[in-house]
Amino acid sequence: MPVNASGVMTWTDEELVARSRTGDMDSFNQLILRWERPIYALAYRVIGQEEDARDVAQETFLRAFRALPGFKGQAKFSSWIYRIALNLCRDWIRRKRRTPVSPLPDDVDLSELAAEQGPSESVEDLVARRELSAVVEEAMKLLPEEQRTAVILKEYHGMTFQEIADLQGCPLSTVKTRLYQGLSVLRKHLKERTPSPTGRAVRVREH
Amino acid sequence: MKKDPEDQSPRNRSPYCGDPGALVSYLYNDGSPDELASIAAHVQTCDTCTSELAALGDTRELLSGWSPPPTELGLTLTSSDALPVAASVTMPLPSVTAAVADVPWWRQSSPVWMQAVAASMVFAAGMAIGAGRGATPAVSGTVAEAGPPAATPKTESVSRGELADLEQRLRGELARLTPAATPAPVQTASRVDDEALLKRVHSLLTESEERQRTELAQRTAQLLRDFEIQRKVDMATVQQNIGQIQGTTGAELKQQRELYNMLMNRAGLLAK
Repeated sequence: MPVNASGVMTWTDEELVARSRTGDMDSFNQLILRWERPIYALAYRVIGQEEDARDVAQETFLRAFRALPGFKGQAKFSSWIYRIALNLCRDWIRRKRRTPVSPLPDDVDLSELAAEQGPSESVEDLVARRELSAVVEEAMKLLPEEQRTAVILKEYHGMTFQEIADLQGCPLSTVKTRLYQGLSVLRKHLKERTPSPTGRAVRVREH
Repeated sequence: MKKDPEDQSPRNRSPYCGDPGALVSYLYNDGSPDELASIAAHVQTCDTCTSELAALGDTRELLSGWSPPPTELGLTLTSSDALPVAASVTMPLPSVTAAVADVPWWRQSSPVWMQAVAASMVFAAGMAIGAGRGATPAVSGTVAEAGPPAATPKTESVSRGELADLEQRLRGELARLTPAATPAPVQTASRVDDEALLKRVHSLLTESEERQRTELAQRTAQLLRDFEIQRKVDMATVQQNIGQIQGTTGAELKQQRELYNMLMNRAGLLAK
């Protein structure tokens, strides 16, 4: 087993995929552990429902495992799994036939906030971060699905324009246009609702 | 444009000026080095693009504050809920979802290794039954002696002959159903495969137990952490409420004192 710089034994995605294809469930569960958080985050940001995002994440891995024999390594495992997740999100949106992002609660539950945060962050910071999160989430509702997905993949998952173009099945220039238009709408909306970029916001990037 | 007004003339206007593609490439630093260098050279001389990029940068800063609600995922697949399609199926990337989604789970075939495990379990059960049957005569004179005492008289009178007949009939049925009986070498190979599979199943079970132990430890640690955070918030809330109560009580006391003073003054006046 390969050993990384920290002395922890790790397999690459490709190695884990190869082992999973022989029926090694533990290897696939390691892949899940590695990718469940980004996939859940992607699903949540696209469809806006916590429980449904969990379901989408679970279904993504289930379908990936079942389709593993057909995965010949044409693309990176991450791209493949993102594609499955995005397809499921799209199916979910079509099925629900409703605004993809859920309405936000009016009040802020401190206990819920506390349960989700580390001990180093103060309650005031939690509230501020939650409020900013709510404003951004509200703004995201304004974007068409393609623009929203492009912004999410670029902003929160650090994908290249080319990777997004491959996932969305569109030219690279279209991705850039979607991003610019999406950011412009968000900029206008956020400018009206936030006094200035807050210093309390904590940058969260999955990848 | 800035610096030099001449730069604003159409003749000197950069192709990157106001181009959304160029702006987002520069914003995300995603492009070829030559392209990014050209855009950067333009941005340094253009007030419009500079301010546009600054505004987009601010927007990105705000976007970074959006994080999904943390949730305990801990997703794992077990052999019972991960029933893959047949290994021979080749699935091109674009059709992954549709191809899998169209097949109901009860119609999807089990993986080969699962089928083999099931077969080996049936085989092992059959071997156990066969061994039990073979051992009986050596241990006791009758099958009934191995059964409960209450059933002894009846069972003894029917068991051996009928069982022998039944065995004969079953063998006959099996022979008719499988005219081309499996040759001995294949059975041997099958047994070797079964042993390997059983070992594999055993190792999978062991690994699964270890994983569950690790997950339990992690979840326990998480619970303790959550409990500590919750306790701190509860304490802060209690302190806040106590402060409010103290404020309210102080105001009420002040009112009562004022009322008392007023009554005393009036009482004094009446006495005079």
